Amino acid sequence: MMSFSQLLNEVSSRYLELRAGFIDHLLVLTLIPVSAAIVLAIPLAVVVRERPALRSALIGLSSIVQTVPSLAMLAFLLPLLGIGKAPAVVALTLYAILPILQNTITGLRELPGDVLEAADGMGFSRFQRLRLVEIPIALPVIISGVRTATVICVGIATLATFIGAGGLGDFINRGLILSRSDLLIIGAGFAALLALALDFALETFGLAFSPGRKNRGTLRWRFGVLAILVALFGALLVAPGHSQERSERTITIATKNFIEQLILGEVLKQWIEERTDLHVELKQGLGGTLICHQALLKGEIDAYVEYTGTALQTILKEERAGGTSPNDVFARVEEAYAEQFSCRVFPSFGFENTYAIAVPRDKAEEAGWQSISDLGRTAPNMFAGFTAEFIERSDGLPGLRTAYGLRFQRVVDLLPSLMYSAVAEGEVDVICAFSTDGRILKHDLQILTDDRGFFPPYEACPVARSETLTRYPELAAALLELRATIDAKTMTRLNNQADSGQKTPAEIAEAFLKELRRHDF
Amino acid sequence: MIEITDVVATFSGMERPAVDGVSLSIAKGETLVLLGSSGCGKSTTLKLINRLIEPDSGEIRINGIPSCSVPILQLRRSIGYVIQSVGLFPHWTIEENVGAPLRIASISLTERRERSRALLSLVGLDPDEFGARYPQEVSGGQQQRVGVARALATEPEILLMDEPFGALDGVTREQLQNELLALKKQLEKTILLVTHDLFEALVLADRIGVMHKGRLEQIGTAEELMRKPATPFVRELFEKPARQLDLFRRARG
Repeated sequence: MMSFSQLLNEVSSRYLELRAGFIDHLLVLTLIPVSAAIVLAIPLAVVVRERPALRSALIGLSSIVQTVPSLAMLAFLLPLLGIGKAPAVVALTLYAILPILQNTITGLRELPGDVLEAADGMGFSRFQRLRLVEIPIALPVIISGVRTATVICVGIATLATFIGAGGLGDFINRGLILSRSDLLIIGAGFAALLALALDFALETFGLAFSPGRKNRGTLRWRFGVLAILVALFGALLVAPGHSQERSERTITIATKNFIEQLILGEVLKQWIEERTDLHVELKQGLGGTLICHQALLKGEIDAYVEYTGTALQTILKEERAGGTSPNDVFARVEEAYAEQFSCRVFPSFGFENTYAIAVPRDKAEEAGWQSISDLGRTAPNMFAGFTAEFIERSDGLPGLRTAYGLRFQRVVDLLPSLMYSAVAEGEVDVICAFSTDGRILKHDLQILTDDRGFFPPYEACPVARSETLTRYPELAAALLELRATIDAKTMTRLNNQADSGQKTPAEIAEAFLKELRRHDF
Repeated sequence: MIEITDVVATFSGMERPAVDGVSLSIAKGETLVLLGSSGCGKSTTLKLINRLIEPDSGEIRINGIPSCSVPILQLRRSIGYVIQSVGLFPHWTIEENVGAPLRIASISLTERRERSRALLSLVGLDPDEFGARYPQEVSGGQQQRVGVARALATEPEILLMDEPFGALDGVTREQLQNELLALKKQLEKTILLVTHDLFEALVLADRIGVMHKGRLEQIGTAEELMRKPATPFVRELFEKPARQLDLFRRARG
């Protein structure tokens, strides 16, 4: 457990990042969507309040939107709006509409009838009645809808990190990937503080605008606190930060959201900045395969590291003929990327991150298991712990059964994070591992060789936009130099260093490159 | 002043018209009380005048002009309207409530304040004491005084009062009835008041119109209704006060 002072230390050392995340979270990912939702929902509520059919249709529609899981919503919007802040703002606006719409309708429909009759009787026009009577009296209910929407927005906005929209979710995401609870606490903590502060502000407005006499004492101290909060935020906005100017010769490299990618990202950045005069902006943990690929196509990023098997199956949607060699797969992917995407696939770093069958080393030595075929006879007595994905994918368990004729006594679904310790502690006998996962070292597991060449090759290769490469030919040269510099053992070791939390990906990459230079030159 | 000719009004979904062929006229400065039990159509008749309800047929003229030819907001702003539940605006102070009809007519704030304060004095509320309070902070009787002040704000010639004192306790009701009588003498308004309370009608009315099941049974002074009831309904209704009047007259010889 870390101490409070360590946490403060982390906050101050990441002050600039945190400031940017906080400002994005508040202004872009909360205030803009909530304001947009207010502008949309209140007039809609006014229009539909006296039209029952339209009203229930609209409430129904926005309820359906509300039930779409946040990540699914972001995924839906991805092909339409790409990655970044725009789709996040659209999704958050959609989520913010329902509570405001519902409360505005409720507020307007529950107005005292005698007040409306009096207003009509004395000759208020429809608009005067709405502006002077209905909205003001319904305002506390409307504001409580805005409060709900705001708190929802602050929460869901932490997921916007998955489509590269920034905000405090960046810290939470990185904390999750790196198992760094300090980053998690910083991200989640500041998001919670933000939600509390905004809720307090809106509650104060609600009190100030409620009909009838106000408690002036309460309002005075509440507005005092608000003034202090606004002043603090103002100070944060104008405080000196590093200049945001982006040098002309800057390229952007993204990484997917797991440890190995974060390390490779740092390796690329440090290597390129050393070998060329290019500046590299790193978008760590941008998102999954499709998000990185979309970003590459749209030119939002210039390069990232992809795995050949993933490129073939997930992006090119090609079925791999069994037993295809790594070279064949690479050639196919290289050709297709050049033709379809105007992107160049560079030769592999020298390792694959593929599915692998792993068992505890001591058991393997005892039983003399070297390859997957060796399991054949004992499999019917074994418990297997596989991820849900592995159990379903054709290049997972179903294919494995056919290729090796394996029949396990029992197969259980396990989360990737639980699998490794489960096999180490003997709760299951065999698991599907990722071949370069650091936990293979940590738990002293052995990977059984795929003697029948069943698992598709998943060679890690840098992919870059041809356009960028034409502009900066030195980039291609630098990327080519990284060919066959990291073998699977090395990658596993680096991943394990990051897993243990002793070193940051940047430090690991730095140490690795130092070692590399010692050997090469 | 007000002439209603053969007016019929039916609520949607109802078979029987709420108001079924009513004709009556109210002279300038006169107080006509429509008397009847709930559902007899008296409130509907009143709301036909400021067009909160539109008639199926028939005609209403005000000062000789068909009310349907006057723009609706202009019509409503020229008629004072007081309802049983008052309907004060909860988000405005008493003073702002009284000034509300002036606000929608774009009268300046200074003039609004001045007139609101004068009207509050007129209905017996000290503007310094009550002006800055909110409706929830005063009693029911005081709320209805505010309601009357608000209805008088635009200096209308006509005042429509729908069970104005129906929600008040007996003592307060009597007090406000007396004040209304005094006010009436002072201001010379044409008043149409709706009530289900016979004695309120006897106290306030110049003439009484008795309504029953959407029809106007009889209209006349209290004396006429007692002496010459036109229908059994009217006779039954006025039996008791008629007897008391007889006793009273006999006693005085």
